[in-house]
Amino acid sequence: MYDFQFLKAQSVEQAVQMLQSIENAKIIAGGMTLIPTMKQRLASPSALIDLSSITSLTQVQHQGQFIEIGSLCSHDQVAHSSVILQHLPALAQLAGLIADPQVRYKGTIGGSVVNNDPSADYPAALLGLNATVQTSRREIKADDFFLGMFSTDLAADEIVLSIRFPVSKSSSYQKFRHPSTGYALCGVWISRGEQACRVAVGGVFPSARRWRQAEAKLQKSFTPEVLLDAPIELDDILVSHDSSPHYKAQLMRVLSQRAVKELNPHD
Amino acid sequence: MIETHLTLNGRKITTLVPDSTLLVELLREHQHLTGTHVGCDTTQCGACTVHVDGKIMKSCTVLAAQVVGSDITTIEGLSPEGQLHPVQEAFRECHALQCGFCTPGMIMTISHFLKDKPKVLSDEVINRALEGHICRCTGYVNIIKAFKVAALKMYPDLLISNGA
Repeated sequence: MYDFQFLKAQSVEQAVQMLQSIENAKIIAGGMTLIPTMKQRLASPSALIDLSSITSLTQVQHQGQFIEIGSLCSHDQVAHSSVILQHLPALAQLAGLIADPQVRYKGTIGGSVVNNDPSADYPAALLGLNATVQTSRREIKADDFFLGMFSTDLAADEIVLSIRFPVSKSSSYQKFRHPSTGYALCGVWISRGEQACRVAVGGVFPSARRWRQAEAKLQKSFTPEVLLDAPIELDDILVSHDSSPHYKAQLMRVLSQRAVKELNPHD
Repeated sequence: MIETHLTLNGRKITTLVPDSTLLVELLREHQHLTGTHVGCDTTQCGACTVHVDGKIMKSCTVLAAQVVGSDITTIEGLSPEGQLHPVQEAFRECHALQCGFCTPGMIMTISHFLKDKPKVLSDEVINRALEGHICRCTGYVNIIKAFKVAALKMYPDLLISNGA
């Protein structure tokens, strides 16, 4: 590995100050994406600022209709948290489907969300649940947070502190895992609320996004059949070596139908 | 440079290493514990798996600086000198290795998984537990067998579905 400085921040304020004063510094959470990226020289920060001493970032809190998950909570922690299992079971399930056990112990929800990998799992959950990202300076709605491939609305000196999810038992996450990497070839999150339903798709487009045409159809009739002809923007689908746009679109349709079926047990 | 103090296989150590040192480099190059292998160096193969504070991690993708103060166990510290851990015994009995390169990582993951008695052990549970490992000799059948044999050595009344 090439040389860089490793600094431990004792507080969020100190971490922000370090980001502002050190040129080309980067925050390290679990490092499960950042370290491989640095090995490949796709990133070469001059300094890594480690947040692991800030224990407030590893808390899961249940506050009325919301669950607030600290940005440094590991995937394993989310998968096994009794509060999340009880009030947001689909999110616990999603976390347990990320990568492999070793990576789930170290990788964090904040790191995944900030990285916004097109094949990551969490972004679809944030969009599907209308979650809010709490940063060191503001709150950002999920709809405004994910901008594009590996890109978010976060400023260079801004740090994600937590993600606030509305409690939901009527949510479903359906994923087609890549058989070797565990990444989502396609992951669909559907939340069925009293007023509205939200459909969010990961793994298909350059960044996770809502499937609004499906939402509109499900709004009228929450049945799997209405998704058969819901339009999909084929031109926007990320072309990859292992799957054609038509294949991805088909996955998106089938997984969405499975999610609707799961949330509609009486039909 | 970072002063890395940690408990390694039950022994307190302090080493001064460059900030960019990976945990696996500290283990192999500074501590000369070469039982932990580097297979892919890309967080996929699991040959570098070690226990960090009771959790399994891929030491090729963890910086030494991130684990300062931690309690680390490598394959060398899994059982007392001269003795084999039940998982190691099971691997030997079942011939669960061909070239053996991936074996230390597999054994670290299985011994971690079996620390607490599982409710039930099935092929599906085993496959999921070993998801972070790759064996390129394709010896998976005997590895799964060894997993079950080790589990029964540790918990003789354990329920195993799909046969042992």
